[in-house]
Formats: sequence, structure tokens, C-alpha cells
Amino acid sequence: MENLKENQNEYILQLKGIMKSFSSVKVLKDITLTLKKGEILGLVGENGAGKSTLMNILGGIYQRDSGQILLKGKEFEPTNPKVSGEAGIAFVQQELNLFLNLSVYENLFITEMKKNRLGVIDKNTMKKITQSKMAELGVTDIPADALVGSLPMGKRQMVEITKSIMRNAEIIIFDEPTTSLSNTEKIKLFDIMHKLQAQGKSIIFISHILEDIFAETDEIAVLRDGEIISQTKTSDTNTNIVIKQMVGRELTNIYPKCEKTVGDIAFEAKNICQAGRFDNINISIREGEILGVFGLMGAGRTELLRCMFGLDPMTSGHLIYKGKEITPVTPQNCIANGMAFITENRREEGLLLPKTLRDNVVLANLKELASKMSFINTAEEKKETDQMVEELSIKTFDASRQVAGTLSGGNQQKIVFAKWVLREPKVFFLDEPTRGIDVGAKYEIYSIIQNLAKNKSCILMVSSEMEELMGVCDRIIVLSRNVITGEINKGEFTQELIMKYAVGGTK
Amino acid sequence: MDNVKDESRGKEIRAKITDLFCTYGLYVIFVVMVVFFTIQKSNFLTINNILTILKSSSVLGTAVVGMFFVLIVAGIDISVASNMYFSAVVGVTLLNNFNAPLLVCFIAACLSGLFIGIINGFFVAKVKIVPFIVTLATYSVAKGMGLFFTNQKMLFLNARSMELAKAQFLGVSAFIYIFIAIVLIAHFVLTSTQFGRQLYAVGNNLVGANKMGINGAKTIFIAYVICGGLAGIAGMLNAVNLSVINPNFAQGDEFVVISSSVIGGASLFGGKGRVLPGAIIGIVMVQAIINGLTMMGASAYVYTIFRGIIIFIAVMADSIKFSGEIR
Amino acid sequence: MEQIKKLIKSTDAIFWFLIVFFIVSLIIVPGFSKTSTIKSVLSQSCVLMTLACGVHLTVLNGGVDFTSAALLALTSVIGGSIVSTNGPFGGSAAGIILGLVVMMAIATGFGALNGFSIVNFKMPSFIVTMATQMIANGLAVVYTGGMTVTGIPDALCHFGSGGFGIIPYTLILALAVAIVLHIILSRTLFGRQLYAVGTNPKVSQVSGISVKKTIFKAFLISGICAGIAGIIMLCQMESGSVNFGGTMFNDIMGSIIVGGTSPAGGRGKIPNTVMGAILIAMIGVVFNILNVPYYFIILIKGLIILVAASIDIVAVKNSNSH
Repeated sequence: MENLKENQNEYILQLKGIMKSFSSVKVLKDITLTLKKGEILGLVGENGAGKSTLMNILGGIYQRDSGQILLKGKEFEPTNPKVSGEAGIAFVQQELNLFLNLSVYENLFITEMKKNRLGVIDKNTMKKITQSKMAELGVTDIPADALVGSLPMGKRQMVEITKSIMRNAEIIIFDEPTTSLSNTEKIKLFDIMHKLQAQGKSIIFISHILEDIFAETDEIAVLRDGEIISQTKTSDTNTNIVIKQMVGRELTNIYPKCEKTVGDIAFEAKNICQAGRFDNINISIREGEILGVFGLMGAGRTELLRCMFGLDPMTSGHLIYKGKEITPVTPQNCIANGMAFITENRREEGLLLPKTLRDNVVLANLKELASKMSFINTAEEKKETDQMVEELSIKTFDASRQVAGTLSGGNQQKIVFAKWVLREPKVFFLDEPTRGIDVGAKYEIYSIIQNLAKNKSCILMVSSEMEELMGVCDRIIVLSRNVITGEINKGEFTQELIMKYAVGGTK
Repeated sequence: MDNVKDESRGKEIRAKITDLFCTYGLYVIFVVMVVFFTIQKSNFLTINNILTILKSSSVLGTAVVGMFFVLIVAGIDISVASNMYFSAVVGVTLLNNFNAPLLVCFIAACLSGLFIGIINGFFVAKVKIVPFIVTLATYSVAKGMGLFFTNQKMLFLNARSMELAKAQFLGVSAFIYIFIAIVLIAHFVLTSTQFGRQLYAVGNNLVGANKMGINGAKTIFIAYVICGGLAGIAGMLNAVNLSVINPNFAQGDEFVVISSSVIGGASLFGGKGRVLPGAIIGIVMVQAIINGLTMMGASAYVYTIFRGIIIFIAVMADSIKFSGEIR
Repeated sequence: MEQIKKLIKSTDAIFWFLIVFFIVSLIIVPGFSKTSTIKSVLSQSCVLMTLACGVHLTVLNGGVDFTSAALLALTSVIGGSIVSTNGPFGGSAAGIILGLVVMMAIATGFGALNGFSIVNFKMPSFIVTMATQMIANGLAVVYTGGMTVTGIPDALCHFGSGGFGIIPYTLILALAVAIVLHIILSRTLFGRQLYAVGTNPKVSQVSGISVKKTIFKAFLISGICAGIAGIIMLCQMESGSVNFGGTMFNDIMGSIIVGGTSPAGGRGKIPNTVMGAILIAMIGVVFNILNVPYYFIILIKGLIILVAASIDIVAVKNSNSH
């Protein structure tokens, strides 16, 4: 208790023993973190380490299960965003919440406009305040009455940041603010951060770009698997140490063993270009090979898969399977040529939640189930569904009656797999295939994936879980900011090497 | 490589043409039609005729202003015509049977309109039924109520209403002043009040608005109520203008109102539209075409076809523009 | 007993509404039990049923088709003038066949126009179909100058008014359409695709279904149904008129929503819409017998839609919270 009093002036925020679980999954295990007044604290960690959850708790969006939060030495309960905001915590999230059809000053004042005596909104006063707030941040080139929709991304973010200081916030949290910024915009952003610091504000800066973290922060805290591994002065540590701390876990998970032979190169993606994003990406996969793709937030993994499957436009590039080119690149054509895509968001893009398991399992195979007269062969449909249910050990009381939305996460994912496995595709794109699934179901999914490889399919697997990739894949490529920065073969897998490529080191 | 360049240039050109069409196409068509009418009937572009056009524009124009509110929050109200009918009936009943002063009748009509608007707003904002289904239903309900009060017969207005119908100031009909006044008030609300700005916010990003603490449902509800009230006033104006309420009063006018709004800059997808000058331009353009058709002695069916084509083109331009913006 | 319980649980509410309303009407409405009345109900439900089944497909996608009702007017006057004994073919078989073909062509053409506009320009379906409805109506008036087309050949008239005892021939045609659509929706490739697209277009696209083609086909079929409905109308009314179908859109939406199909799309069976159509037709006949004034009828019909749609929303909310 005395310690607290002593440090009251020093620490503006103290987190002790914060715990948070979602369903039965422990996301935050015992967070202890401190933020000094007027300091910029960098928070680093892999995807899924718990950074967003922690910030959401501070911002009042989630409620913690246990633990203590002290704001300026006093107990603090962020019960909802409003309370958090009024207490002086501003959260600049990754996804901007702006009204594109309104001007800058309107976005800032939309919930509490300045009015004159007659109740008419006082545009001039609001514009002046807006201009001065932006000037405080060193932003002088955005007119207060500019339409937000006409501003480029970087400037829109400035508006969002200005929004956060409207309420005289004392703690400002930046969650991965640089993902869609150009270099000049980034410099501007850091400029603002330091200006805020000079005003006595305290900042938490979440980023995976270690280069930026080391350049801009006073302290660095490393979050791994729901725990703060370390919090040290930036000057007392270096990139290598931080990387080691980010990934230095004991590899305890067990992965199914698989006896298989990897054949020759069967699938090639050559010179894949997408305007504004990808510049000549080349990927090749051997028959029976599981190729992992690792990358941090904003690396472009999902975008790459979507592009190669025809869901997003491909400016130029070729997809070739066993010498034959797959063209045009559209979902229908890719599927017809033996490709499959398991998206990362099964609830929104993978399953028809209100429909039965059977409807979902056969969804990609409808054309094949239809006879010449277009009638769906229901007997065949049932047979195929039952076959899949058994093969993938899906737990259901009746595949023809149970609705997909009522299954557990693991079983839902198995249904998505079933949908594609049914077609016996030769090329499989997997995007975060085990996200949100418990350990037991994960093992089963790994077995399914291994079996596909055994049957000579080419598998491209994107995952944020490094350990998983290391346990299942034959080779791993690393994506960082839309570029392949590294490629590692099975025998040489190490967490540090993978992370090094992911944070921006090149081959 | 050259193929790719040519392809993307081709795409660019096509995109530019589409863009030009969407922004200016309607105006071009309008100008063409005006020229056509003037050639056919030399007295189309006379001061007298223009004043007639403006006067009839003022009637539906009032409803157009109301529709702007609903369109801005990405809603739609297809019950406006029946609303006009029902509200006019209420107002005229007071006029004839209770000898109420005209102003009171207008207020009564407005209140009836508000009533319909409240029903619409409730089912759309609270129960969250799709707007066109809700307003489709109230279309029938309002019509039924109107027919009930008139016993499905014609209703002639008391001669006192002629005072307003004929009233002029500076050679210009009183109706036009009323319409302009309503436009100005609406313009003020939409541009200079917090509520007005929140309407645009809600129409652009309902989820975001709720996140920021704006009561999206309440905002939408009020938009429908305002639309209803203005439709009520429009109904009364229409009745005074015609001096009679037939059972097919304002039949099909919902499309004139919606297309005028879209032509005037509002979008079915929400977040856009300035009543000043949008509502005026929109209704005058459509009304001018209708007027021209009347002068040419066009039969009733021509109007229906024209109304259909106009709203089709207006919405097509709106949809193309909107899908362009999203990407 | 278990079997009966299962049966009761699996039948939808509309079935019970229909039965209850029928029984109540039998009891309290004078003259309802007369065969002529029952036949009248069945007759009147034919056109509505055919139209509603077609529109059902578009509602499954979260949309709507307002053109159908107006197509009754357009097809009946154009078709009527071709088949008419006063027409260019003097009422011959050739004329009849040509007339019917032309009717189908027009209706299908409008269906295609709707589908094209909605899919290619991404226009909201309610506005597009309302616009084409006005154009169709206008064209109908242009064609006839407002006059009713008469002189419909006996063969067609007989089809329109005759039947096997209490079952009108036209009902058989309408039910045939309903059965075909039901089979399409529940047993064919297109049916599955339509339900999938109506439930979640993103998932459907990733799974290789062409969302655009599916939506287009739905509107095309709706047009085809409108054409058939126009033929039925022509035969039943023994004339072609621009006034046909005037306020029918209300009844169409009523049949579908009361039948239990959600305006949000993704689910809803044809048999339910069929029962909904019969119920709405029955209500209409009952109101007629009871001399209920027109204003009351449309008032009630509007309220029915509001209430049915509200119940649908509440029911979905409740099942989601499980």
C-alpha cells in the first residue's frame, strides 16, 4: 500500500493480475503492467497474444474476470466505453470509426455540438476548436470543413486521433496505427505521438514493427500467450532479445505424425500482382507438401489467398497445376480445377449458419450431385454427408436436421472442411484453420490436414500460430508487408528465425 | 504487357463515361425534354407556365422535402401518397364540417401525417422490419382510413379554401412561398442542428453512430415522423389546389416524390442529399416534364410510363454511383 | 400417437390459420358452405397463387417483385387482342396459340429486364420492379386506349370457368405451377443455389455459386409465372383489361409473408405461400359475402402484413437466442 502512495505521481496506470477468459479459453492469464505519466510504452506480441483483448478491457468494451486496475493510484472500473472515455482513456482503434459524408469538425463534435444561445450549431467555434486541436498535434494541412471521405487514409487517421484528444484524454492507446500508412504519414504520426507526450499525456503504442517500437518508445512490454513476459526500458534491450521473448515458449503441443512422400512441384503461382499490394509474388507447392504461411497483422496473407482464388481482383499472374494453367481466375473456375479455400471467418464466409449440416457439406458440390435434369440426388447427398461426418468425426445428432449454427467451433470448422474435402481437391488454401477451436479438435483438424497431404494434395496454410505451423508444415514462408521475406525448410524451423522474417528482416 | 495497358485504359474510359452519365445524364435529358416541349408548344417557356409549374411543384415538393429526411437515413417511404390522402381528408373534414380556419385544418392534416409517420417509424426503427414492407402496409392502412372517412366518395372543399388557392403575393402564388418556407426550415434543420447532422451520420454508418453513443433507432424514427408530417401538409395543399378529394387522390404520386428526391441528390443508400437546392430542382424538373406532357395533350398512360422511366434512370444512376463509391 | 405429434410439430402455422379460418367461416359466414362459394374461393386464389409463387423466389433473396401484378394487365390485353374473335386471327386455334406465346414472351421479357437491372446495376429490387410495373401499366393503356379487350374464344372461356365439379381447371394449372416450383426449389440445383444465396451471398460465392446468375434466374422465373397468371386471368375474366391486377401487390406480399416466408430471405417453402394465397383469397371472398366495404378490406390487409412481418421478426429473434 505504501508503495502505491509513493508511486502515485509516477504511475498513471497500473494493471495487476488481470485475467480474462472467453468460454473456456484463457486469453489473459495474469497481466501486470505499468504506465508512467508522460511515457510512451510499446506493447508487442504475436497475433492472439492478447493485446487487443487487454486494450479492449481498458477501453471498457470487455469486462475483465479478475484483477485490479489503478488509474492515478485509484481503483478504476472501465464498465463501458463512455466511462472509460470520461476517465481520460482514449482508444484509437485499428478500424476508424468516422462518418465519411461529414466534415472533420462534424466528426469530432457529432455527439456534443457547440451551440449558440438560439440552439443553432456554432460552426465557427467548432471549426476554430478543431483547427487548434489539430495544431496542437502539429497537423496544419487539414481544413476543418474538409469532407472526411475526401481525405486519404493517413489524414483520416489524424482526424481519428484528434477525436481522441477532444475529451482531454490523458492516456491514449494506439492499436497498430501504421498498418495502412505511407512512410511520410507514419513520420507525421510519430510526430504527433511525441507532441502529445510533450503535453504530458501517456501513450500505449501497440505495433509489431520492432523498428518503430525501438525508435519511438521509452519502455517495451512483451506480451506472450496472455502474460507480460517482460517490461523494460527500451534502451536496456534490443531486437533479438525482444524476438526471443515474443516467441520463447516451450513447444509442448503434440502434432500427429505423418508418413508420407512429398513429390514434385505440382502447383505454382507465378508473378502474382495486385495493384497497390502485391508485386510479383511467386509460390510453388509440391505434391503432398504442406506449405505454411506466417505473418503478422497487415502482412497480406488473407489478401494473397483471396487474390489467388479469384475473390479479389488479380492484376496479373498465373496459376498452374501440373503444367496446366487455371484461367480465368474466378472462384467457380478454381473450384472446377480442383482448388479449395477455407476462409478465416467461418461464421461469416464459411457456413450457412441457419442451414443444416447436410446443406452445408454439399454446398460446393451441388453441380456434381445434380443429374442431367438438374435434380439433386438426395440419396447420394445423404451418403456423401454421412461419409464426411464419419471420416472427420463430426459430432452431430442428425446431419440432416441439426443446424450449423448450433455446433461447437471445432465441429463447425470440420463442416467447412467437409464441404471441401468432399470434392477431393488437389490444392487447398487454408486461412487460420484452427482459430477459436479447443485443443482436442485442433489435433483432429491437424490429422485431417495431414491426411489430405498424404493423398497427394498441395496445401497452403496460413496461420498466426507459429508453433502450429512448425508442427504441421514441411516448409514455411514468411510474409511481411505484402512481400515474402523468408523461406525456411523443416529441419531449420526456429521461432526466432520465423519472427525475424515476420518483423521485416529479409532473406 | 500492352494488352494489359489497353485493357485498363479501356476500363478507365468506360468508368469515366459512366461517371459522367450518372452525374449529368439526368440534366442533359431534362434539357433535351425542355427544348422538345418548347418546340412543340411555344408557350411552354412563358412566365405564366413557369409559375404554374412552380405552383404544382410546391405541392408535391413539400412531400419531397419530407422524403429527403427518410432517404438520408437510408430508408424509404412508399406510403406518402396514401398519407397525403388520409391527412387531406382529415383536414378537409374539419374545414367543411366544423368551419375551422384554414390554418387549423393544415395543422390537423399535419398531425394526421405525423400519426402515419409514427407508425412507420415504430415498425422500421423498433421492430426492425424492412422499410418497404412497412410502408407498403401503411400505404394500405392509410388509404383504407381515408376511404373510410369519405365513404369512398368524392369530397368537395368548402369555398373558403379558394382563398388560399387563389392567394398571390407579388404575382406569385402563396403555395410557392409556403414551399420555399418549408424548404428553408428543413435546410436549417439539416445543416445547422445537431439532430440534422446526426441524420447524415446515421445514414452513412449506423453501427458507428451507435458506437459513438448516438441513438440510431430514435434518429431513424424521427425521420419517418417528419416525413409523415410533411406529407400531411402536402396532402392538404394538394386538396386546396384541386378543390376536391377524389378516391384516387395522389394516386401514384409516391413515385414522383421518390424520383424527385433522387434526382435532387438524395440516395436510396443514405447519407446524402441537400434540400436546398436539391428538393426544388428535383421536383421542378419532374413537374416540368409532367406539365409539358399535359400541354401536349398526352393521355394518362404516358404519365405512368414517364414516371416509370424517370425513376428507373434516376435510381440506376444512384446505384451505379453508390457501387462505385464502395469500392 | 408419436407420429401424430411429429406431424403437428412439423406443419407450419399457416396451415392451422387456414384450417381455423375456414372452419370459422363455415360456421359464421352465411352461404359460405355453398359449393359455388368454395369454387369461387378456389378460382380466385389461382391467379394470386401463381403470382405469389413466382414472387416467392425473389423474396427468398431478400428482394421483391412488384411487376407481376402489372403484367396481368399488359399480357391480358395484348394476348387478348391476338386470340380474340374480333382480332386478326378471328379466334382460330392459331391465334390462340400465338396469343398465349406472345403473353409468355412479354412477361418473361420483363422478368429478364428486372433481373438484368438488379444484377448489373445493383439497383434495389423494390424500386426497379416498381418502375417496370409503371411502364408495363402504361404500355397496357397505350395498347388499348383504355378499352377492354373482348371476344375471347370459347375454348379459353371454358377453361376459365369450367372444372371437375368443385375443382376449377384453372386451379389445376395454378397448382401445377406451384408443384413445379416446389420441386425446383426443394429438389434441384437451382433451388439449393437460391436458398444459399438468400442466406449468405458471400459463402455462396466462395463455394462456387454464381450469385448474379442465381438472382437473375429468380426474377426471370417470376416473370414466367406472371405470364401464366395472365393467361389464367384472361380465361377466367373472359376479357383483357388494363385494370387487372391493380391492387394485387398487397395480396401477393400478404400471401408470402403470412405464409411464413421471411422478407429478409433465405427460407420459405412454396406450399406455405400457396396456403397463404388461399387464405388471402378466402378472406377476400368472405369480405365480399359480408359486404365489407372496400376501405375496410385494404385496411385489414395492410394490418395483416404488419402483424405477420412483426411476428416473423420476433420468432426469428427468439430462435436465435437459443
